[in-house]
Amino acid sequence: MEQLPRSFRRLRLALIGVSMLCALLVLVVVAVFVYWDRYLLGPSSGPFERGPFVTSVAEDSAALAWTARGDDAVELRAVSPTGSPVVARNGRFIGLRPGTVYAWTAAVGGAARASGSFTTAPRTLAQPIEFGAIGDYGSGNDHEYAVGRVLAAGRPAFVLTAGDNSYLAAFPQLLDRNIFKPLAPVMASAPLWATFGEHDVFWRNGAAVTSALHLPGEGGRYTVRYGPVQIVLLGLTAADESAYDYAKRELARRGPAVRFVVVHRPLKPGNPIIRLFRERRVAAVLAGHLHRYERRLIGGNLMFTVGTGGEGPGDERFTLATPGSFSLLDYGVLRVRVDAKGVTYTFVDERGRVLDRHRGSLTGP
Amino acid sequence: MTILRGISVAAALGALAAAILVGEPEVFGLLWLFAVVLFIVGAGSIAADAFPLRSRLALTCSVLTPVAALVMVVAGFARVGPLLAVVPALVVTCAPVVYRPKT
Repeated sequence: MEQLPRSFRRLRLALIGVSMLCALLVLVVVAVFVYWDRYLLGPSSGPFERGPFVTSVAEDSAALAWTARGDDAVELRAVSPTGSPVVARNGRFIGLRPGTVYAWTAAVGGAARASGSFTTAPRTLAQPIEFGAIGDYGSGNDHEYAVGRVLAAGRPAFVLTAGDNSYLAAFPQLLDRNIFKPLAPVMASAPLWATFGEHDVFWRNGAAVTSALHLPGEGGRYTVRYGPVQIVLLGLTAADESAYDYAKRELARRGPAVRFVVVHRPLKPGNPIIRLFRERRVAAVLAGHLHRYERRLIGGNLMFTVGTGGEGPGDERFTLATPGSFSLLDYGVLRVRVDAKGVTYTFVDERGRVLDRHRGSLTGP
Repeated sequence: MTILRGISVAAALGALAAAILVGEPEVFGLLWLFAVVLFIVGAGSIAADAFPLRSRLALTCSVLTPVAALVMVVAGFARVGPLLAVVPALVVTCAPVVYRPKT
């Protein structure tokens, strides 16, 4: 080494230093990448494109649906508060106990990738039933997300929507943005039973929403039961003969302790269906269309307008309050609690404030 | 023996001592530390032995030193025994010291 010229020795030392520095740099870069990958990156996006979400709940059964990205098998299990396990087949749980909260998990590849809970319908009103109602919500904006959080916080057994589930139209490509993402927290625990507004029926009479939500009827017209509660959903309007005939037939069925009707457009005085609802002792009619919250009596029927789900009032000149009603221009949710003695209606706005409270009977105002 | 070679041999012997004295899995943490030293010093040794090139064996061993360091790092993940993981590092660091070709 001593024979080497001084400049050569310096160059050699510099090369050695640079080599060691490069090695150190490689180690630092590798360490940063490893740390980033293991501790900074979030979990993978998951195997589900949509859901799983609850599509139906009865006294002894419940069903969930989902859209998965791959072909991996989904293990769907539920556990009751007492620890009784249930395994779903094709997304359906059977043999459940009435009035019981079940916690479900959907596992893919040996790990839970989604979870939620649902409450099976009780046989009687000895156990109170709570549900939520919204309308005119499917806009995918911040208000809808806020309303979705307020809905989920109430832990409803099911959710009723009074139509306009997707703006501007209910195309299949828009449903994740307008329904499934904003309402994901509540849909993991409660079925969404929707009727249809103008924006839904614009495309194939709402076929995309019917299919996506696994609704039991087309055009937003069908009847569901949740234990002692019957809900008759009429669709866009209650002003035509077919709606009248359908309501007359469904409301004549025996068994329910309390009945609700859901329709998109609010009832107008003079509609013969108002008398039918009174005769059949409908507890309340829930409607949307008008982007306000309103509570009023019409022909002896209690009627709520809950077009407050997120789309917003637009121009206030076209969103005028109905004369003679309790009316608010706001975003929010109508929470309904049914017990053996009556029904409590609470309107909670998107900030969580209670803006209206009404106590009604099981058979009307 | 140059300073860099001395550090490499010391690190390899340290790793051997750790492999003998420390139990699993704690030993792999120590092997990581010695591997980092070997990786950096090994890079310096490559430059030292290549410029100027005096012994091909020394250069080859220097090139293999970072590889041996990587073997020590992955030993824990690959479920290779710590003693076995240290052997490549010992060989590549000690060989140029033990075998000195006549020049």
